[in-house]
Amino acid sequence: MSADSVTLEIKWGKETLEYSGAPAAGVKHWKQEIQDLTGVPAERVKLMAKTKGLWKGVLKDDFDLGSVDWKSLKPPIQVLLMGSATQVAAPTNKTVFLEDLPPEQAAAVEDPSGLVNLGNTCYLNSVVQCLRAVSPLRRSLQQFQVNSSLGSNPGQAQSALMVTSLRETLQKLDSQATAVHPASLLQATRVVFPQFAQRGPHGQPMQQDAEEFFSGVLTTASSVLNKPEIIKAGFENGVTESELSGADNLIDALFGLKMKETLTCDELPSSDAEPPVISYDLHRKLVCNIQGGSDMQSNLNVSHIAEGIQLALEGKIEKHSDVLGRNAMWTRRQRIARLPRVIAVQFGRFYWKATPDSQDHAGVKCKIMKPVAFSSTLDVYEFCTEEIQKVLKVSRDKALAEEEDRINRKLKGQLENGNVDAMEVEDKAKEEEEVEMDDELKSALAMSMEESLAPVGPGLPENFQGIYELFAVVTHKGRDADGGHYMAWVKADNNSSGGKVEKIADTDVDNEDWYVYDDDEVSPCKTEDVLKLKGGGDWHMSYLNFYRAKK
Amino acid sequence: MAPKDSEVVEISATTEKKGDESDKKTTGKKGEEEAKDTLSEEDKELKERLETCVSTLLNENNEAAVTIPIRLKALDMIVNELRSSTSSMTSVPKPLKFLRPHFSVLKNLFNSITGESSSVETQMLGLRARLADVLSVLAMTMGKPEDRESLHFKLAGAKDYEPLAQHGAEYKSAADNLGSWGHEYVRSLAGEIGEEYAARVIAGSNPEEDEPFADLLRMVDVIVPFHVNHNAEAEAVDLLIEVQRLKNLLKIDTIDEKNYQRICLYLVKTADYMSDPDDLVEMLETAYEIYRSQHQFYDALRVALRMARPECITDLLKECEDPLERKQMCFLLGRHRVNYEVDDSEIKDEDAWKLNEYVGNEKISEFFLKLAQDLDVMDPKTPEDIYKSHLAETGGFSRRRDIGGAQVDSARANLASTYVNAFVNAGFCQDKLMTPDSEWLYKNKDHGMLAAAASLGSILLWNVDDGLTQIDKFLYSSEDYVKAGAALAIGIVSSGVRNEADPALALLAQYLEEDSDSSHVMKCAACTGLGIAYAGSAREDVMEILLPVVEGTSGGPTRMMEVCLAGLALGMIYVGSCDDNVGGTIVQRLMEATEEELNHSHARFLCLGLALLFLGQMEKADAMIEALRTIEHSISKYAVLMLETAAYAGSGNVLKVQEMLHQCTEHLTEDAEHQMAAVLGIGLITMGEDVGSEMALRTFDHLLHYCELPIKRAVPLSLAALNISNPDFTVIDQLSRLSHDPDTEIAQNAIIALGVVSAGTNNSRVAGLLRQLSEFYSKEASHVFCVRIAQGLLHMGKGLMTLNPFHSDGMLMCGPALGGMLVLLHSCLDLKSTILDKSHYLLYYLTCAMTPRMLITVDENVDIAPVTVRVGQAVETVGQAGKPKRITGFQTHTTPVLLATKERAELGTEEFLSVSSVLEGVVIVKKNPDYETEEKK
Repeated sequence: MSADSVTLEIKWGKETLEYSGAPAAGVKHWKQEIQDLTGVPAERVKLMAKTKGLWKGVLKDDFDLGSVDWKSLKPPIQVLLMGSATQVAAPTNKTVFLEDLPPEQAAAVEDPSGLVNLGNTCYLNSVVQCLRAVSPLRRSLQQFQVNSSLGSNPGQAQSALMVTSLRETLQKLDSQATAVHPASLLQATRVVFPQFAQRGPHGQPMQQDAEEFFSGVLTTASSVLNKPEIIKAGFENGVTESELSGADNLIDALFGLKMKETLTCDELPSSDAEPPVISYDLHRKLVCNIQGGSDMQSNLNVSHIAEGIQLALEGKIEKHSDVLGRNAMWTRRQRIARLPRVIAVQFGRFYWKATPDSQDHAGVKCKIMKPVAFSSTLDVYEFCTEEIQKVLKVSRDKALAEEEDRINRKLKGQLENGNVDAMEVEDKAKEEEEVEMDDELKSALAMSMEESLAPVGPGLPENFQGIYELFAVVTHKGRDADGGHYMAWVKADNNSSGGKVEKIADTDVDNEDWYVYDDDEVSPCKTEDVLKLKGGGDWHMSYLNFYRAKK
Repeated sequence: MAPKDSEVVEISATTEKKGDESDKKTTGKKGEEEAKDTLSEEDKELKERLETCVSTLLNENNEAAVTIPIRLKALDMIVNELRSSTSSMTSVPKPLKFLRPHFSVLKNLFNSITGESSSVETQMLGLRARLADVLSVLAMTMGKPEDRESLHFKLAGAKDYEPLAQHGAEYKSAADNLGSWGHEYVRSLAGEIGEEYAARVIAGSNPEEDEPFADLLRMVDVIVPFHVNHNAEAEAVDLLIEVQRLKNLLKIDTIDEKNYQRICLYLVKTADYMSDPDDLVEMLETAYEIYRSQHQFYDALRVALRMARPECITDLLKECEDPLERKQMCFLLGRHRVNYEVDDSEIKDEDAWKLNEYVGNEKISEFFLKLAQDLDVMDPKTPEDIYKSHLAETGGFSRRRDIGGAQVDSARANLASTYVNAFVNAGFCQDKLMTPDSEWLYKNKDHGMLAAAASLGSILLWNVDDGLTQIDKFLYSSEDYVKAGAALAIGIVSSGVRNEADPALALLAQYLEEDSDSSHVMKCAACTGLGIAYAGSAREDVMEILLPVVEGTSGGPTRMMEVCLAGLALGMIYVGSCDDNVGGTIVQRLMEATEEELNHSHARFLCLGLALLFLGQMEKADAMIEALRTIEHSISKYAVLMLETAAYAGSGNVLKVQEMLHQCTEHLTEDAEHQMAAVLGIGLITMGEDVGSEMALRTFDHLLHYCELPIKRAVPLSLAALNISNPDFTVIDQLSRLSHDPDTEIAQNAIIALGVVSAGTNNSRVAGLLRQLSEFYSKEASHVFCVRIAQGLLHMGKGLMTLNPFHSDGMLMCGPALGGMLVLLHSCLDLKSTILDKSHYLLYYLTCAMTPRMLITVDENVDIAPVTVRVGQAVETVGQAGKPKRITGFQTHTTPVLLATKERAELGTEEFLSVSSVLEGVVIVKKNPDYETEEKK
């Protein structure tokens, strides 16, 4: 160390370093040495004087260190060092901001848009939001074209107009981030169904029944969506004639329930019974009877949706009996002979109550407020005909067996939790093998029991177990049958989120996210919130439940 | 006095008799009547005696036997009777009552003795003088109040005493003449002196001279010491104020350690109500001198700071002998953000450099972290911890989805989170977004990146040495915005903290040099950074860098932006200093500015810079106001009002408030910027003063009812200014109502106001309100942004900080703190083009206002020394006799503790004595030498 070298006390963050250098060596040399000392690159070394009488500001490279009167300074000569060796690297994939997205993409990211209430049109808004989630219908609507042949029939043309406006409204909902005005759809609906154009005493549009509108839409759509290619378009995996089994339009293929009705006469002993009268009928919804039997006599208390449906499927009627030669009591029993992709269940909350005691009116419209619970899935096995049940049972038994197997294996895995991962891989391979084997077995089985394993309905997945999942609910709020408010609760579509939430095959963890559409206000909610819509208070209560076949 | 009073006396006498039986009431009444007729033996005797005296005195029959000495004796008897009974006025003294019928007769007698003092015979003169005294006492109750008879007789008497004294007669001195008549008499006399003085001034006497008031002043000189000696300090001060001779208080030698506190407290608190700035200064000066003479240098320093006289600091530090007190004074200087350099050559203290450390707030980070550790809030908080969206409840179904899915980042939402993170973790030196890695930085866009990089400065607030190392790497980023943010961060990190190396100046100066090629954002950030770092320091070397920027002209709107931000920074640096150089440059720039430039949305900040220069300086701003009026642009009116209100900020000046209200009478829907400034001004002028604030609150109700939108928009901001960091129930209520207003700007301003009002308090009510607002406005991005900012403010420093510019028991207003707040409030007048646009980084000016709201006690060596303290609601004790309780509803804690705005602390143990008279911030405590532990006793 030369005689004229000076010692600096360098403060660097929390550290304090000693550095001695000769002023004659120049700033650059100092910085180089400090780099060796600290690891801070020389060009980043910023030295600021703490002791007065050194230099001003940051030490610049061209500063003459000799100009400082080092001797007059009292040690320690303090200097502050600012500098770091770390680099800031921008991430490789740039963040995309919501604000930069074009409106269509932004609409996809944000909460789905709602529908503006055009004057007591919540019945329409809520049903449209539910239909929006029926993807087969959406696909078919894309294919639908108004051709000239329809023009000849004015009724058909009107129906076609209504269906097109429905399609356009649905498209707008997807592409627009703000609320959509369903004016054209409303207009078309009122042309086809003039009752929706009714106005109240003050000129305001009347409140309407959501279910009525829903049936109306289905009726209209069924009359125009009847081309085979349109029907085919609805089913992503195609559909065979046998599956359709007579459904000649998309609506019947999607929503139609073929019901087998069996009438048995009660008043005859079973030995010499009159042969039961069997008839087939087509329905587009199931009814959940809350009141307790269509005959109003039963005191059965319905507290679950399954009980209500069961009740609605059975009943007693008075009918002429040929054997007895008079009218007798018959038991009516309906069973599903063909399952659809989508089942709509209507809760019989509104009914006409006759008021024989009143002189003013013959009866009043009433609403039943009592709670009817439902869960996120619906098992229709019980409501099916024996033939269907037989088919369903095959896959149900298999699923049951698989489940048992899985649990067993899991238990086993837990016992030897030393190499769980390896086990799982092994298991998976095994599983695949089994599946393959199953496929083979199944095809063989199918070969042998071609007749007995008839398709249960159009477009239903293989191994369908007769279990449907809830995906949309229309609720009614209010104590009045003629007023109140409808809202739609629709399960959030996971596809938009880039498929990040994948359904884990192993568990039943499911997408829990829902949206609630209160006209133009859309807010997210959870499955548990939806399951609270069973009624029994002044809160919203379900009126229409939409189920889709579970894969 | 009327017989009514005698009735009162009787009733009070009889009330005792009123027993349990209620039917005694009637007998009581009867007794009363009897009492009227029949006096007790004693009274009868007294009455007769007095009557004899009077008749002797009058000597109506001119009996020769009744000589003047005899008459004098009779008068003396009356005097004795009166004196022995007039000490209290709670009941009418008997002699006074019995003399009542003779008042006019005595008056006549007095008037009959005519002639000049010199020409009358000595004995007669003595009689007249004595009689004048008696009449003066009698006139107190019997004379007409407006005639000031009491005083007149007294003065007439005083005139006669002079020649008497020359004659060497053994008459008692004038001094004896006053006090001996009792308090009530002195008090009433003092009142009349005040009235007489005012009357004479109105009549044309020059209050500067003593000549016309000599007789009055002589009496004042007697009365004041009398009051001071008798625990009536307030009256003494009042009298001196009325005769405009407050300085005389200093001559009184009876001011001692027992009463100086009460006197000074009264002086300081009364000063707020002086409408004339000269009077205010005089009162404070008096208090200052008294403190000094009592060797209470800490308190003297408080008053000096209140007067904004930095030149006193050196004197006080020099005079102060006690090293501990000196340290304490330095902590106060630090808290007040005074840039004072302790000169070791002048102050003989080995620890001079340490003192500089305290003034420079270098220890604030250490103390704050200690406080945080003690309260166990060191863990960093994420913005989501603040939003608590899972708690949101609207109707029960709108539950937010779990955050962290594949949602697309919203730049605006992330920007809000950046600020929330910066505010919440301010000063804690750790967080979860910025310090771990730079990922979050890139989740922001453009100016958002700037804000994110700058937020590092806020997180590392006050910790300069550590902070610089962490910020450094961002200075070398490839993004201009990040670099600019890092520059701003350097400024923020050294906000209010002094460092010998001056890193902020050293690093930021280069970006503002004339020939530097730094970008526009860089310059904006550097200006703002300097403004934040050196707020209140009045540093010339910083000014030299910024002045050329302000003077710059060419370059259109971007240049104007730099000009405005530099002007604002200068205003912050020279806050309340009235610096000619800065003021001249800014006002000249404003005058020369083109129409287009003045239309720039940020031109207001140039005006604000000018206004800050005169913050709290009252009439010193007058010349500048005149200069501003000459500008021919609508901004002129706005600038004038802004300057005027800033100059009178915290003064409580009622006249100015009225002026501002007058501005609001016009119904304007456009070009009403100046009205908004006026409304904001009302809050600004009345802030820090309880009565005024309360009145202002009521005024705002009227404004909300009857005025146009622009005025209404400013009302929430003004409410906020009145209650910074003080979530008063009614104000929160009012703001909550306004936050749902259909007008966007009223709602947004009210939301931000909620944040300001609750800043740093963690107030759960406001937290709930804001959460609900975030749901309510979930579709409105701008509203949500405001809500987020408000939430960030609410939980600022995890509830350990305050933005309140008032400290030291609400006596001192910290200029930089108020300046920082004003930047926010004035930005809110045009949210759309400032905070909701690209200039959101102006929010960082709030760091100038951030201070830990703590009480931390240290020992002689400035090491933490926990002590038990009582913390409770502050009680106003001004003008109260004895030792009144200063806090109510207190709880006992061990320091360090948090103090809310309206709270006050007291030491909870006798074991220690505090060096500071105010328990706030850092307080040095020392062992009480007289303390004895329980066992010893």
